[in-house]
Amino acid sequence: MEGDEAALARARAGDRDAFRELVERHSRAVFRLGYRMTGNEPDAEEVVQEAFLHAWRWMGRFESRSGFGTWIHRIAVNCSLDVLRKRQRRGEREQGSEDGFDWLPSTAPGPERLAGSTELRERVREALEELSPLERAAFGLRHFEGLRIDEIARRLDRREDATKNCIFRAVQKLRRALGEYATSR
Amino acid sequence: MRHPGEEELILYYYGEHPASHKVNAHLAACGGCREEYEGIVATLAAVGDDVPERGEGYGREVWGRLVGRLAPSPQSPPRLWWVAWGAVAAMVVLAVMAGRVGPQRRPEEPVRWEEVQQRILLSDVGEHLERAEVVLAEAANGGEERVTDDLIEANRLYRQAAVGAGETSVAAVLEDLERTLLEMSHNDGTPELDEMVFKVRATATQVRARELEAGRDKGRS
Repeated sequence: MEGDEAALARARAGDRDAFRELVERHSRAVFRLGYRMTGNEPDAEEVVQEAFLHAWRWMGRFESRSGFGTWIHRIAVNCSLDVLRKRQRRGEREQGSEDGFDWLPSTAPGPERLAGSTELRERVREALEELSPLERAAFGLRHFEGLRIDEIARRLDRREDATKNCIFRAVQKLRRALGEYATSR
Repeated sequence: MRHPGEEELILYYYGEHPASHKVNAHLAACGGCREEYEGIVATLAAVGDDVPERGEGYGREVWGRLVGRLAPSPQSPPRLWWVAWGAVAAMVVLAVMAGRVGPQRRPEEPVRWEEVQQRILLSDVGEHLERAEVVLAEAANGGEERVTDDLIEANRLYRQAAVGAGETSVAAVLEDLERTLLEMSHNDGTPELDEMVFKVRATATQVRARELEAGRDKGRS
């Protein structure tokens, strides 16, 4: 199988088979990024779809300076932010409504609530939901993707100190939300 | 070493503290700070990476969902793209000289071309869209606002820069806008001005909101 560069060159000329190779090669990485940024599968799938649709549309005009993997990652970060902002706006509109976020599991404790690690995961998920889109994005890129803060700042188009503060606020909120629960596990 | 604060300990955890060896030595000697750090470690360790697994065939599934939604072909490479990038470079130099970029940065921070380019793009694209909106709205109301070559050229540069920056949603609107401006300039057909005005206004609002968001970040920093 040829490398990204050759497939990219053919895809830029409109070769769908070449683009298919790129999609098949990078889909899992884009899904992982989308999931880490948005925290749920439907949104992560939306990120995957939108990122590749955008990439195809602009393929012919992409100047290959950084490689396809970096470019699609950058597009996926922007798509994730769009999804998070859309979700935030929807959440604001539907605040108090019982039928919002149907796809999210109930956060109310009930007899079915599982103990141990499952409950911890649920608490973590709730805590992550409380982060702002930028906090979530910056934290996700640092904590899960392992990018350095200066690189995250470039990808999010923020100053480095502002990006650091996003990460600090995210960690502080997580500490408050998880409290003693995390330390007692 | 003085006691490191929570923010320093977070940087240390991620291996980004500029003097990690000093923090390391301090933690070995100071029980209070070690306890604080262990709290951070426990929290962050609890935030595990639980991404659902996608199998080997996932790429094929994605392709199956995508293929019906793809445009017939990607955008063609622009003519004279090097002229566009040269002009963007010139704009950046002018902006730096005018002090629009320089004073916001601490002297010890290196200036990165990519970062500066993105910042210029996002700080100016809102202004450009608002300028275009005035022209479009005037024309939609039967006025004789002239579409200048400068406006079209600026639009082309912003679109090009947006593509490179991965800002593809903004690039898509700029592309539609460019087509409309060209049609208006050449009296070629009857562009849907009302729809375009709405689209440009919505995008300008979104870009401005991002600027405000960035400003809030800056204010907190």
